[in-house]
Amino acid sequence: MKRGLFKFKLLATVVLVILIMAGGWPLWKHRHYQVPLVLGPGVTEVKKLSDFFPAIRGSQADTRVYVLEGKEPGGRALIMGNTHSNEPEGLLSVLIMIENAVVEKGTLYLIPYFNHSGSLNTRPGEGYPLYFSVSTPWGQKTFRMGNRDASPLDQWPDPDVYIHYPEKQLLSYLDIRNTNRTWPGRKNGLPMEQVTYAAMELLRQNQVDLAIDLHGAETMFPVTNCIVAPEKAIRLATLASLTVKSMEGFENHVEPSPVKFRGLSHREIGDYSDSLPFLLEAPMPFLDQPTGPKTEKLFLTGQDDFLLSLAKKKKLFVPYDESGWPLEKRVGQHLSVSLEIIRQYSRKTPERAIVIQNIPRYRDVVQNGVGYYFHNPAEAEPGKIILD
Amino acid sequence: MIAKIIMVIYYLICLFFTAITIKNLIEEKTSKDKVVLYLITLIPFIARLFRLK
Repeated sequence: MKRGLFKFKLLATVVLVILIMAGGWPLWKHRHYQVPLVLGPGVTEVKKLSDFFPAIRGSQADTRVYVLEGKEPGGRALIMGNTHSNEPEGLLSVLIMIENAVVEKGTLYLIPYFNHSGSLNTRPGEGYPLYFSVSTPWGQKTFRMGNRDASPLDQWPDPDVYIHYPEKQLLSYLDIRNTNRTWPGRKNGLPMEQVTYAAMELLRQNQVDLAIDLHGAETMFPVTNCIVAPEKAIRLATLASLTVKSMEGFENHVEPSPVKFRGLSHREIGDYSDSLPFLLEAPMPFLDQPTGPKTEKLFLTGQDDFLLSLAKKKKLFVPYDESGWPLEKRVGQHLSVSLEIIRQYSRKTPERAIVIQNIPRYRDVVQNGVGYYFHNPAEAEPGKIILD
Repeated sequence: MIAKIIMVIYYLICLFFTAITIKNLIEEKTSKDKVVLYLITLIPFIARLFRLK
């Protein structure tokens, strides 16, 4: 071999190693970054989803379930965040509940990272930030920005066409890793089908009355700023929508769950269990396609000049001005609407009432900010911190 | 269970292609273009084997 070629090989290999390390290190760090959570006074038990379906134990599909049980028996509600991990207003809302809520009657099951694998995934191809931080009274709290789908490191390969089980509807290949297309799940299916199957088992084994799935949606998408509910839950959704509008002054209209679009939580939970499902969509300008760079600032403020221009041309499905659609409004809406659904259900069925205290509502979060409700892990009692 | 078996096979395939690409890289005697080609080909396999992406 020519000596010149040997030198070239060596140099090129060193360049390759440097490139892989420079590109790979941030991704590795993101996948292993853990967010501290301080257990609030209302948490009575920390379970895993695998407690309801052991097949997912030990995998990245498994996730924590925080149980807040009241002193008095009553109804039961499940609230899920990060079904889509690039829509973290759901995650933040559930974390606020875990750190603050006290249940007096009934039981609350809270899953902050429903698609846990998705929270470890990234979306560098669209320039998403790997992290975002919120200001708290004790400093910045940093979270992983995840992706819509589970990581291919945890579930691969994808089929050419995803055939939904059990309805046999043909869906996009990618949706086999999307935990809002795999409901009601499959016992012996792929990991994300098993995640939704495990959640169905949680709902069925515990006779959970309400299941609330928290999301964010584009402002250019018609199903945004709304509560999606099937026929059997639409009355409650309408009552909650009207009440938050009149009492708290924000719009959150009701969208009927389409009967022929399968795999979604608001459809399958209702069809395959006795629970009443609701899917809450908060407007999230960060997700829209025609925006400026996908920065942390855009995620936090929801302010974007391109969307403002489109709003003036009436191309958006939500009111939009210079103030954007900040994180506080999105999280505040999720908290208020969730509480209102639970309150309306409790009024209708007093024997299955769920009474919760100490969860902030829309106006509180808009006024104080999201970070105000997170506790300082450095000051927490030992044993009260969970890293996830 | 099937998913886990598929995943293991997938990693074995990655390992196989990494090994033969490195073998070809070492044995390449003349072409700089092929050296670059082999190294670029290695990137996705190494990223997967190290569970980076």
